[in-house]
Amino acid sequence: MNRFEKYLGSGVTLPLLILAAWYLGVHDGFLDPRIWASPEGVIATAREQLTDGSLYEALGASLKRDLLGVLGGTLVGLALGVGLGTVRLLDELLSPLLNGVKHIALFTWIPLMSIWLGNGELAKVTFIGFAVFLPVLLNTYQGVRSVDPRLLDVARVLKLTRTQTLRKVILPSAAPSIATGIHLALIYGWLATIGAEYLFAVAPGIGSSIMEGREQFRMDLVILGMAIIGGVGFLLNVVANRLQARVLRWQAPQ
Amino acid sequence: MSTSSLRRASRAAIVEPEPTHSAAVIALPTTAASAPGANVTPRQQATPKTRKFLRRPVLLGALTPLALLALWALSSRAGLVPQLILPAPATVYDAFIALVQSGELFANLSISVQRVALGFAAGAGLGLLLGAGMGLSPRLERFLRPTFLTVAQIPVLAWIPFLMILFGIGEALKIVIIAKAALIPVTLNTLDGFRNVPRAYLEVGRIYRFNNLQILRSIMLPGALLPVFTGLRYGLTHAWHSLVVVELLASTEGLGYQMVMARQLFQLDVMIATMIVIGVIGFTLDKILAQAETSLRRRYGAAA
Amino acid sequence: MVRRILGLALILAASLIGGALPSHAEDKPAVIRIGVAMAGVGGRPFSAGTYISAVHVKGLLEKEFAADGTKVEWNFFGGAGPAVNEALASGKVDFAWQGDLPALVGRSLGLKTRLLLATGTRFNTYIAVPADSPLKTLADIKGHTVSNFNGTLYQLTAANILSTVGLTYRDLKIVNLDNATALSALSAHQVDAAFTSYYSFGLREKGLIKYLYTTKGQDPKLTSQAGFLVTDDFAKTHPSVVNRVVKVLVGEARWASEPANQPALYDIWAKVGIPAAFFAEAQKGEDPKVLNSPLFDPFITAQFKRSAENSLHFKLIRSPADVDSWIDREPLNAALKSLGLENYWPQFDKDGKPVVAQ
Repeated sequence: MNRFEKYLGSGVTLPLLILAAWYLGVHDGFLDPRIWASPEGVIATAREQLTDGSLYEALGASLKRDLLGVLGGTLVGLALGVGLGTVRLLDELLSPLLNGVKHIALFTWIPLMSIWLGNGELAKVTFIGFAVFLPVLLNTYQGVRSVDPRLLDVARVLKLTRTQTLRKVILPSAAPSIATGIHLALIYGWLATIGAEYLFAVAPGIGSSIMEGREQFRMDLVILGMAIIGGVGFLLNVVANRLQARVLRWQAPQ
Repeated sequence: MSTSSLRRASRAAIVEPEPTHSAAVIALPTTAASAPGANVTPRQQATPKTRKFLRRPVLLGALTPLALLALWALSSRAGLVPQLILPAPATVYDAFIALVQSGELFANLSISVQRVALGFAAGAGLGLLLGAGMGLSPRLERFLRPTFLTVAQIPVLAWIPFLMILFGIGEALKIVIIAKAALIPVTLNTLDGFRNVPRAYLEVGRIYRFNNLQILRSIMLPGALLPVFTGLRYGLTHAWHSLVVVELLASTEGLGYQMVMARQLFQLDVMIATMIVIGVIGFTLDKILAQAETSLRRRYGAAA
Repeated sequence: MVRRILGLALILAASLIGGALPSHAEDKPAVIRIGVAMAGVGGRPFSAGTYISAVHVKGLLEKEFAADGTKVEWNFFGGAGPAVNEALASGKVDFAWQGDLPALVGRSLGLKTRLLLATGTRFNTYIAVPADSPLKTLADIKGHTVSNFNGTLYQLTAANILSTVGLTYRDLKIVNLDNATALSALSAHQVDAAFTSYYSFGLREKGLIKYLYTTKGQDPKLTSQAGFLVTDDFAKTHPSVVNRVVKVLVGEARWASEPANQPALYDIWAKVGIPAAFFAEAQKGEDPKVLNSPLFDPFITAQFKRSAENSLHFKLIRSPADVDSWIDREPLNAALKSLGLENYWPQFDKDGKPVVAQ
């Protein structure tokens, strides 16, 4: 039983079984070979795309878009989040509107955006920025609003200026929340990048190449694309976790 | 165990999963609903003073949307914004009425709701089983978890082309996509819920010589209830958002399809009207579930 | 800090908006932006089926305007005609090539454009079914789930084709899918039939589909067509540019009309990712001069008018679109004259019968 547990009960068993079923299915014919690619076919495609550079090109284009959108959306979200969190009037004026807007499913904006901004890079980057903007804004706002009132009282007693209060009191104690916002930004940004590549005009990118795979019935391209999208998401998540951990460590002594 | 530490434990179960793992694997950006701040608002709880200001914020809060609406109406009347770019609010309203009267809106809406209901039921059901199973049996967890996380790591968006090749564009595709979207948060939150039931409670149960079934019924289930509910709430939100995406990408009927049709024939009024309908439904769903979660937390969070 | 962030955001926003606005100089525009209602497989920036594809691949407009410092920008829209309309409405393109239905949708909504050239005429539609489909005749598709690319010329053509066997669009369960998605749906047996084109020949080669019906060899009124148009704004500010663009296009239409050039033309079209042999097959037995004619002869003019009427009838447009006042023949006539091509292309009457030369 123990041995069974050790070998068959471990986490790699199921993936291996799936892989075996896939391999046998393609070669023994219970999976339609016109639709299914074989595992080694996917590896061959990956190797081919790595050597001819098309993978780097697509991934590079997607990441560039992603980065621009995330950067823009995060900056705007941060600025507005701090604004709403500190200026009461602004909060009262805008928060209900923003709370309503966040319920409109993100992707329903795409048709309107393509009419307002065209179908190209501008629209894609704006869409990514928009996707990122709301979580950053809401988390920043939350962080700023939940600063311990006693700390603010101390700042008042010490006669700190607004900017000083913001820099010395509000931002440091909101930092974990902001880091969470940026974490979500990285993840949403990447998803929005793929979605934008599906629904706006086609241009080089990983989302476009997976769609090309679907058009051509190239299951190998599709599976490769899925793996890359998942892999990039995973890496972004690791980066974000590191960032959050660092912020927490930095904030801890306070 | 004190109430406060229990609350902290249950909050950790609710808040942590989102940014740490399930946010990483969520199907779609579900806007701020899945941001951790959206759940717990300590300040609101802390300061009953906010009640006093209730009227002012409501009025002010209504001001901006109304002002925007007025600006929109006036600028289209003055011809500042071409109808081609943004039709007047009255036109959008007319389009909405026409959609209602022709029965088109209701037909598409009921299709969409059916899809979400089916997909969510399948995904959440499986998610509850998987989550509870893994939460109760470390053996099962060790066997399934890596595969599950790999599947979860690949967002719904990336699954769509793959599933399109396999299933084409019929109902099966939509149900599978929606189920996948609901499955992930439900499983992860259920798993955390079951695993985070405080050890102390289990010990109490053992002291009272509860058998396994009793432990499950009297300790595990109530203890995991809140995180499970949170999982269901995220699951439903994710399901709704995925529905829209999959209907936008490949559709035969439904609200997303209605938007695509309107886009194809450049009927912006229909498009905006549909967008508002989708938004209002998403909003209502979230509000109802948030309300239910709050009352659940009040009942179980404090009672235990 | 807040101010700095806000300032940065403002600059970002301003530069985004600023970058989107076109800048025009007196008859020497900085850029000529052309929208094409087609993209190749996987979004390749190429098109097929028209002489305009050859103008693009050979860089003829780029050469024509190089001396003026005017750039030529080609935009290929996988979303086809509807996406081109979006680009026209948001001022992203000056010239556009799109199918008759989307062009009419734009026209009826008040997009201010001038129709300059006919292109992609006598385009054939195919109804594809899975290889093992039990469907035998066109009439059999009644009640079945059929895919079509709504909002594009296929939607109109489908309605016309169906009416030949007394069916309407409503007799089918129509699924809105682009060409590529339609084919994967067909292969997976998720739809029973699809309105498509030579685009699907690849799947037939793989043995996945067969054809139930084609307009090829039938009444030419069942074929569809596209138009090349310019925005009113651009035509007003840069009339001479419009004339030069049209002249280049007409010159290339002449090249594409020569039988000897067909293999070269198919090779250019093949850049979309469809083998040249498929184009050869699609156009077999047809006169390249007819297929590549830029003329608004009585037949093509009547086709556009029929499309306008049918679009209104099928509620694809909500207000009528006038065709006569839309076609601007001046640039075309000037080009024909200066190239000496006035009698080069044959003309056809409103039903598609050859007009006897005078």
